[in-house]
Amino acid sequence: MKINMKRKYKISLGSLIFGLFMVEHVISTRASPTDSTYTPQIEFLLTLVILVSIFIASLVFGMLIYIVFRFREGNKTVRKKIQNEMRLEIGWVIFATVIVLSLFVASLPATTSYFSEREDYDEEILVIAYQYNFTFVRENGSRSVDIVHIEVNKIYMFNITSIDVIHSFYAHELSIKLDMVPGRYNIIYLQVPIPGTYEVHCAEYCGFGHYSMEAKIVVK
Amino acid sequence: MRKITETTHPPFYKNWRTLIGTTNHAEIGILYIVLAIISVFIGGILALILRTELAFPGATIVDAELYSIIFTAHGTIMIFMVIFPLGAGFGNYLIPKLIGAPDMYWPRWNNAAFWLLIPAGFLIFFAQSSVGWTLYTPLSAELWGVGVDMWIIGVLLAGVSSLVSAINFIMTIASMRKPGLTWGKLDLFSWSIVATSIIQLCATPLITTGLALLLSDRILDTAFFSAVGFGVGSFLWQHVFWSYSHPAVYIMILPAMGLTSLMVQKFSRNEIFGYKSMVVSLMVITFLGFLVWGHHQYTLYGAATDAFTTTLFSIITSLIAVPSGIKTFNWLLTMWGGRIKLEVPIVFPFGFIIGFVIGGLTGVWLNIVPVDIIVHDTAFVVGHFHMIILGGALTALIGAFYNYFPEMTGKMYHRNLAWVHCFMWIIGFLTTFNSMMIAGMHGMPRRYFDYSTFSNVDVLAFWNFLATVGAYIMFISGVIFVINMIYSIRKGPPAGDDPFNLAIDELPTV
Repeated sequence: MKINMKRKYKISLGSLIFGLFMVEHVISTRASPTDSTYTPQIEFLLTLVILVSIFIASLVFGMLIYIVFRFREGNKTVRKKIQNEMRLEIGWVIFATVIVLSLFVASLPATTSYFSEREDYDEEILVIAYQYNFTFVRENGSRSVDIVHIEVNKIYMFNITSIDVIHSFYAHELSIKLDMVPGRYNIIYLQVPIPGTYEVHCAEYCGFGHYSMEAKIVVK
Repeated sequence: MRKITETTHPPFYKNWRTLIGTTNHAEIGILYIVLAIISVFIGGILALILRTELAFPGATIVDAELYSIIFTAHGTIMIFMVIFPLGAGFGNYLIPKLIGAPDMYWPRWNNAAFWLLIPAGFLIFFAQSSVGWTLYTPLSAELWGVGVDMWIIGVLLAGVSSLVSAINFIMTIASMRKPGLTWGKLDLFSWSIVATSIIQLCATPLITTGLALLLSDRILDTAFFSAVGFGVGSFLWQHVFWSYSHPAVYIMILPAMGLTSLMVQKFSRNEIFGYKSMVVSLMVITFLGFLVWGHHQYTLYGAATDAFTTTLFSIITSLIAVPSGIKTFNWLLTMWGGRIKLEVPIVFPFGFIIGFVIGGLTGVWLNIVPVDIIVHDTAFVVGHFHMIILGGALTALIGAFYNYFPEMTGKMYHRNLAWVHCFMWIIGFLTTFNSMMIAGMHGMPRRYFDYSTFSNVDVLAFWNFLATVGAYIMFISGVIFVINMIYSIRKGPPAGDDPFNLAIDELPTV
């Protein structure tokens, strides 16, 4: 088979195919809105890491397609070995290190805000998980199973634990996930600016009824 | 080159005494590979049951209990009966030839290491353990029934087998190289087996100890991992488990990397690019692999507890992307200036590079702690892991099987069927695991047997259905593979000394 395209078109074609593939990832991700105060930071990081991935994947797949087409057996081309091996290697090491470390640094503020302690919360809610329900205990002593009502823009401290096996408190739309470990109290702060009903699911395998373990956070 | 059909008359597999008692490295290597091919179909059928269940919301073909049993068995069989044996199999088949040794250092131990896997496989398959392959305590310490005990003993046996073969490989490569073959001239597959064996030697005792203590928790009512005060038992188990199981993913991928190096070199008829940096990055991966297990536990700590541990593991994990990237670019540039013969055994490594790059980049996503918080324990992680291990490691190993098939059997495989297998496989794994990752980003938690109560059930159903379609494509391509192999062994044309018409003189024809 003879390909008459010029080389640069081959590269851009290859990059385009795989670029589109990754853009599909972006679109699908952005289609699911997340609505807590953690959301803007996480969305920013997600976009950043997706763009970097598209760039690197297009580079590698473009190179793969280009090299295979150009140096396939029977193709007439200049077959010259690459010089300056060491310089290229060092260049890659620096390139890759800079990229991964800058991604790490970019993620630090969000990590710190997610893991930092706050004093200014309005109410503490104790969440107790057991196979296969969540019980919410309010400061005034009232209890509810699998549903909790909270108010818009107030800061809540969820103090979460389990009484049998490990569960995980996972609200996809609110961008929170935290394991519920028996004997241990894990803390997560939640402030929701948009009213609505948000689903909570168990994310850590906890037994046969794992799939049925769910609750609702109703924000008014 | 000695053909397996010429080693014994009649062939070793015709007589049960020679089948069980063989100490020939090539024959044991083939036994490992055959075991892996049988197991991959068992594990594959289990995976198809899981995927069929998930294709539509609601309970369709299995119930929640059977689903849990199946995903545990699928994971364990695929790891301990498919990927590990394939690495050991190609190691056994190739290492003595590559380094010019007559056989392995301890041939009888080599034989024992293989036969230990058979009871291990039976125990794991029939255990009906339902706690997942991660065995998180206290669930695994408390779940009633002998299933988990059987599973633990099965994995302990598999661990002994992998320890024995690791020591054997290290001794063989360290002391049986032919004169003049210094460490600096050793090929990259032997290096990858050295690295794999080092990981097995250092990491397997951790899981062996952990599993023995867990078994004692279950049987003798001790409380190493079932202690609940402050969650210490659960934490300890996760640290012990992942400090083995994270290095274990490098046990799975490193032999595939070594074989990719050999095949890229062979079919592009070119010297490997950056030999030294390949070896150094292999060793850096081996070393860093031991220091990154904590990235499985980013959601375990809450606010105000352990931001330091989290950031420490995050930065070390970031660094592991560097040697992986170097290896990828070196494979690409090995082909630069070569004459690439496009045959099936080189297109499978291209599939490896595609799977490894997508899986590796999504691994970088998972290491960004805030991103990990939303995708951890979802189908995204499952898709990422399968993209690396199936799309990466297994794809390269299949390519290696096609590469050595003419040499093992003396027959040539059917080329067109092999091409069909190759393209269906690559399209299949890209479809399945990309769909799984997207479903995970839409909030599909892992190990869910039913997602019909989710508010975005239609989106999840679409991506899950697509993933199931990809899984069937992969399975059908696997059936085509087996038909091809059986047909070719019986009726295939004889393969000459140069089955791929490469006409290499000066390069190693391995």
